[in-house]
Amino acid sequence: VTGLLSWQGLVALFLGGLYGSLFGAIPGLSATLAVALFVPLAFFLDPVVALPAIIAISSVSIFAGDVGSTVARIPGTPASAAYVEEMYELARRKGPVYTLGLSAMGSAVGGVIGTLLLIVAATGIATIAAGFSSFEYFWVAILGLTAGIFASGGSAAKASVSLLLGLLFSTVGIDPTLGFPRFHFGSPTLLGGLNYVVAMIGLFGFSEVLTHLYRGHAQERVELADSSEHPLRGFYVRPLVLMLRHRWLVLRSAMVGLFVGFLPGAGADVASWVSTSLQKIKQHAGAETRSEEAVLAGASSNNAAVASAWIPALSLGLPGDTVTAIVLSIFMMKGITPGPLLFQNEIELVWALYATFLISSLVLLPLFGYTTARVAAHAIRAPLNLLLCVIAALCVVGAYSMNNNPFDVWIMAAMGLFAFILRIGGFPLAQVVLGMVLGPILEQNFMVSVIIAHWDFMAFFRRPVALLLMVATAVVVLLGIRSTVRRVIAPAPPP
Amino acid sequence: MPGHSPVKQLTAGVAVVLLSLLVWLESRGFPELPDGHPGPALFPRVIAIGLFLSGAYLTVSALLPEREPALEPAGRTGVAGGVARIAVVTLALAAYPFASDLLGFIPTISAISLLVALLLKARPLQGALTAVGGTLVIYLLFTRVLGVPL
Repeated sequence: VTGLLSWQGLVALFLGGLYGSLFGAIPGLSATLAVALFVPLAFFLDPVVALPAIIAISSVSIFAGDVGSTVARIPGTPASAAYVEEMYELARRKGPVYTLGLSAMGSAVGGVIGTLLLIVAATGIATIAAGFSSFEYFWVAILGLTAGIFASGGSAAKASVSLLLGLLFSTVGIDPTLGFPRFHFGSPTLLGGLNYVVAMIGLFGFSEVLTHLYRGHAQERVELADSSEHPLRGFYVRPLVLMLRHRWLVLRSAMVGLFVGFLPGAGADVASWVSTSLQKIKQHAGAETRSEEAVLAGASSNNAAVASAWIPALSLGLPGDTVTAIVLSIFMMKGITPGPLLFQNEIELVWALYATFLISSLVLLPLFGYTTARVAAHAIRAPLNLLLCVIAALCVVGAYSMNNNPFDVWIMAAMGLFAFILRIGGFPLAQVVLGMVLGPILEQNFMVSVIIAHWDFMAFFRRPVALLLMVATAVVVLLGIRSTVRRVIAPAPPP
Repeated sequence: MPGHSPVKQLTAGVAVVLLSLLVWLESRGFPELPDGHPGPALFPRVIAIGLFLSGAYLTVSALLPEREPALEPAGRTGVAGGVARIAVVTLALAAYPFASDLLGFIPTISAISLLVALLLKARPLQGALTAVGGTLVIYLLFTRVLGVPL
């Protein structure tokens, strides 16, 4: 901890948070890319300085993914896509400062809960995670997809179509069973699959530009509700009051984030989706704080997942996501062996990591969150046609920057057109991203499971945890049907 | 266009059904596993079945009342004008790789951005300043501040 509390450690934390907030807020740039670009520098730094910087980068960038959702309906990360519509709607109704305050406070509390669990139960939880086989992963993916269908709040049939289209997009490229190329239409670039960040920029960002081009009227400015309110009150006080009122929601979402986050390969993206979808299914149609609850659920679960992804990494040496995979490579370079012995041999490093997570949640998120919220509040007030022209440029640059490949710009444009058509038909867009995120997890684990079980499908119901997840899926279906029926029989809102 | 539109839902339903058939047909060329079980074709076929059923449901229920709002209609210039504006910008993006090689990164992105601004009825000078300024800021942010090569 002494290394962390040195001036180098604190500067690394601060700069990591600043760097992460920029990467998260800009469409196309991700926490993984931010950490990957930081690696060459990290190799030359003391681990007690480099690793806290990585924690700051990843936790702040996951929060900053909500900035794009707030300003322009472009989620900065797939985790933010789970509640992008709610962020966008809330920012226009109650202002971007309040909306991002809600997200930052939810992220901070989720991060603290995740860290506390990391401190008290890292090894035990990691052992449970290590017991997860392809059968359990299959059911986790099914649970996420099922919740996603009912979470749209509209027609379940249309949500299913969006989800299936996302799953279909996930099949582009090399298949996981035989390595056979599918749906690549002779393009070598498509062999690597569709990058879902590029797709997301097109689906949300470019389709927004196309929608306004179609309507032909984008000269208005956004009128914000909270223009007279002090930003400190809007960012800190009101969100904290609401969070206290919804404390069980925050706690429950953080626990879901923890559970999904520590599963290797799942991470913050899936955690956010599962948590937000469950909340949307559970809440009553027309509830006054519907959007706020969805934002709180998503934000608290994705930052809890950022912390819990480190549990298998530290305890077992298994990366929970791409960021922890990079961290493990830094461990190896420095001659540090992750696993149970880490807690004996490198206890100072472990405590430095815990302290960093807490500082990141309690100081960096509120600090950088407030700064980005103020910037977003100015950006959102710009004339819409000028804002959209900058968004168009950002979409092109963001898509191109993923691989420095102009083909990605075409993919982004095609996805934008496709999303525009879906919007005309009233199909939800977020479910397409969910399908793309969960598709590879679902297919790979299904194929591995059936091959292991020699195509005995009853094997999916034999393992206790798999059975538990199946029951959870059935409960989600029942809740979803109940929610749909309530919506159908509810009286129509007054005109 | 908002609200109930049987024609639109019928079109969507039929399009989804057709897509499912295309996916199924394409998957017929995928190999089986060595033990004869379906391999790379299995997942796309399950998706195709799901799309077919959902598309069929949408088609059949096209005449039932629709409660969710859809996209608002195009403005004064009508649907044709809206489609034309979308086509122009999409073609500009299609030409991006060639234009970028010819003109360079910053002029090409600035031109696309300006095109969007003008089509959205921004004042030309205001649009040009925003397009060029925005592109420069984005370029410098990516390459100089964040170290992302473009």
